[in-house]
Amino acid sequence: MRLPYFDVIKITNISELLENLGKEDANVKILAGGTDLIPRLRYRLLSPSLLLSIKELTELKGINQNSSFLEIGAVTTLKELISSPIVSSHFKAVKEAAESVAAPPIWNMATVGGNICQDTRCLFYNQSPFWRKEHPPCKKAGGEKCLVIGKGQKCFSVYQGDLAPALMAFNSKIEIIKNKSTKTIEIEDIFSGRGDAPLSLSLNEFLSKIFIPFAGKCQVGSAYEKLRLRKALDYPLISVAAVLLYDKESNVLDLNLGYSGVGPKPFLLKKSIEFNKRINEFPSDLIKDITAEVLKKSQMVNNLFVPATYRREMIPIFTKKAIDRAWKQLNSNF
Amino acid sequence: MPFIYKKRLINLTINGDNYEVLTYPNKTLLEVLREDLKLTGTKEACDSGECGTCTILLNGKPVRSCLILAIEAEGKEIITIEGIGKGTELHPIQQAFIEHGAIQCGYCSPGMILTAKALLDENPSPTEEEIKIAISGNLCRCTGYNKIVKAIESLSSERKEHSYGRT
Repeated sequence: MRLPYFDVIKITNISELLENLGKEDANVKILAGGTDLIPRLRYRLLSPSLLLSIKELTELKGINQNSSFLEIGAVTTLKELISSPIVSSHFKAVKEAAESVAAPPIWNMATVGGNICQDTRCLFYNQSPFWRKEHPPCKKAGGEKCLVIGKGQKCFSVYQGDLAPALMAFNSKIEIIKNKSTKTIEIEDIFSGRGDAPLSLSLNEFLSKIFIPFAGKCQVGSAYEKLRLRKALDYPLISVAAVLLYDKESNVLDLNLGYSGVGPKPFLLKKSIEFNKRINEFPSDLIKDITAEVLKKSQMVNNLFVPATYRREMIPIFTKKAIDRAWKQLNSNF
Repeated sequence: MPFIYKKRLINLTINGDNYEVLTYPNKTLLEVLREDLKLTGTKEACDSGECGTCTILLNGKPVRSCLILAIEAEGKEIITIEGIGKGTELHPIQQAFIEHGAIQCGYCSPGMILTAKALLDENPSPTEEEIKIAISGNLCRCTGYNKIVKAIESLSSERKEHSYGRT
């Protein structure tokens, strides 16, 4: 299928990006790696008249660090993230999440910012115009109701990004630039919870940097588990990022669990428990409580390749898998 | 007012040669390779970046030409399947694929071979697991992948069945 017609400006600095985003009547989209945007353009799910290509925007590329946090430019590719020794050694779940995306050729193109800001997905929405013309438009496509449940004002399209839950579990923040000002927010705050408008970004705002704080004096164990039909290429049907942070002085273990594939936005669950070095396994009754809470917050319907009932059944299993591996890594430190 | 569809003149470096192409900004690199330049070795299948038949090397790295706009490929070194042999002499990877029965219909082969080339250029002695991860983005409906993995393994510098250099 051919792409719709649009013009393209190759952006070389942030001022140029802001100037073009800020134009009043512009129907503009940012093009980074293109792995999410180009297929959607092909399916005529959106029709911008102008794309701002930021592939060569060096100000937003690269991984840097100071004593407190790792700073990742939004245009850094997944391959650069995976190859970073610091990400491997300190943020294992982030590396595993990036490696679970698609396949190596996609890692060479896709960007960290693009993976976070990807659109939500649904079997009734991500289809060609030929397929979609047999149905009235769904809520996300500008229609009146969700085609999955047949009624209601809510869109249940699914956020299926891999990096977001891992970054959330590491308490990451992001920098947003608008006009000449910047603001730093928790990464969870970029997600609106609405499937038909998943990001809380206005038209002239963009995500520029991601900050992942180092654990400092805490010892860390982390892991990312993803439910998928194939070992490569697939989006998560559900996924869990588990980060365990142990503070030796207070003997407190913080458990952060990031979830994706469970509704229109990823979400984070946090627990703190007193640490017990003698136990071999993470307490199973605690995993039961956690997954009950996750199931209450999740909004899953039959709009992916497997039924929602199966995805719900897999939440406690994948939660345990992620926690067990994170626990193993944490215990290897002792 | 009639809408104006504007073309642009771009320069692409493909297989060591320079091409001047007059094309629309919404044309993908895959469309320009196949339709404007008649380099039809690179294939079109899924158009969504999943199948890998459109894989080419951009500055030595495997990427999906169906997801790259042609104007974004300016200033970069593009290698297609047409560019890896030397005249009538096959590249060692192509030879290994033939000898190991790793080609049936041949549709996945250009993308698969270029992905293998990028792997071996970066890692001359990949393990079986590393080969499988590298080609996980290239789908093959014919062979079942086993012979493709064996063909690439035969080129590992430890096996030395073929002499493979960085070409």
